[in-house]
Amino acid sequence: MIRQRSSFLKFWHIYLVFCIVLFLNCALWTYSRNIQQGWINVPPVPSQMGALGITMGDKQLAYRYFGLMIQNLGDTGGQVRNLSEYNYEDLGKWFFFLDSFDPKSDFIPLIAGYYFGTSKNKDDLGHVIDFLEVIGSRTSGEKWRWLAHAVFLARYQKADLDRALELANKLSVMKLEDDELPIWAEQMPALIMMQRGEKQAALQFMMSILASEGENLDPTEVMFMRTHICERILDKEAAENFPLCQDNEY
Amino acid sequence: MKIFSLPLVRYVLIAAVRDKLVVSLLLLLALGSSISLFLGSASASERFQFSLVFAAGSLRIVSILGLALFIVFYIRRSFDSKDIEYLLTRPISRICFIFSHSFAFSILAALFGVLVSVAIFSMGWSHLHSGYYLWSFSMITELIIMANAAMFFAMVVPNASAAALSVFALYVLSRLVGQLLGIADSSILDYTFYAHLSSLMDVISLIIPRIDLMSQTSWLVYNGANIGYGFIALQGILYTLLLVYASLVDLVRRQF
Repeated sequence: MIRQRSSFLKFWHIYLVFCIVLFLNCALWTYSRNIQQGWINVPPVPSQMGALGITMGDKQLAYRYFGLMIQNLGDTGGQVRNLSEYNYEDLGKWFFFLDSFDPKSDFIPLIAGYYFGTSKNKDDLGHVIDFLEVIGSRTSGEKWRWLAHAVFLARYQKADLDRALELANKLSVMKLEDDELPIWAEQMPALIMMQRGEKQAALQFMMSILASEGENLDPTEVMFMRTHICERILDKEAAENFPLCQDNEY
Repeated sequence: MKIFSLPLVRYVLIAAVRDKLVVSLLLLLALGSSISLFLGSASASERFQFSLVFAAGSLRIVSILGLALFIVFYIRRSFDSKDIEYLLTRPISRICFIFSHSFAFSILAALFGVLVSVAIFSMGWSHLHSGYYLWSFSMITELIIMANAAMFFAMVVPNASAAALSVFALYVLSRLVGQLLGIADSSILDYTFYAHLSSLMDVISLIIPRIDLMSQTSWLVYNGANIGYGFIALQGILYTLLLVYASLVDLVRRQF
């Protein structure tokens, strides 16, 4: 005890400086406590070398790492951004960039189509539609579905009949590698031209995909489609009476 | 002349257990797998693939770091405490010393590779296919190469921190060498200065292993790989031999 006291008396100036520095740190905290990182919007697309440098040359890891970043973009620090605030031109570049790391995965097309494709800004949707057109033009596996989704976005979200018809014509003549297009996809141009209520047509469109391809889809993608039908296409009253939207239906 | 000493191998393995290397790795495996599962579950789709890729990518780096740090600090400590001089006064030749250490470090590397593979297996055994076995084999080979690289740098570089940094630099370079060679081959570099740089890159790549072609996490997600067991085994054997003999050349030239 005596020794501790003599140490304090001998080195009192060190204790004093320590207390001052501790106080200054606390003072700084009162300034920085409520500051959040600013929203810098969609970051610029890195070079391939830069992206691979971060993941030690692993393309698949780069795809997943940056894919998750794009999915959570804007939702940081307890703040959520409206899709209209995103720079869709840069987002479009990210979609193509990430797709080059893994052209087989459906994660980026899904995020582009079902998440970023819900933007109310019609100009923004052009970048999503352009991306889905490229992905959907691939003849392997189930990729054609993304072209069908591009048609859906162009026709019912962007309300651009000419672009929708152009994409629908492209889809209807597609020759798949190991399967055949369902009838409704081949008849897409006619469906697009039909003069019917927007919501009714959009509903039929989504239900056609679920009916013909539901078993081949990832369960999360089915959930995305269900949410889209029940919360965006149908109003609350119609959704309550629609079998798909009732609990335990899927 | 005896070129291999089993007691020396045992001595190194006991040192690894004493330094709590295996226990630390097991803890890091559990932590890495848990964080990967958490991150994967945050994705909107393909959750299993996300978890698998994050786990494989992070556990690979963790095991390389752990192994390299242990080997570098073990060897430098042996030099500083004169253990190596003492061992060489016993009936152990310098050749025996290097071969035994290389074998012991390779056993540790293989153990690390097996543990990482088991961790990946336990995360989704029902979804895995033949690409998993190739990835596991490649992971073990990659770790053996890097373990011997750590031994080489620890022998050659007299400072432990510098030796560890040299191992990491080699690892990063060998994981990016494919990209660097791709840039060197591209027509963008048509100026004389860059043409010389790309030639220099070619020369450097002669002694850099193509680890970027090994343990690709895409093998775990999709069946089918552009690299086979033969290339991985051949590169593993040839590059490990190069590192072992380079370490041996350094040790036989050394004056104690």
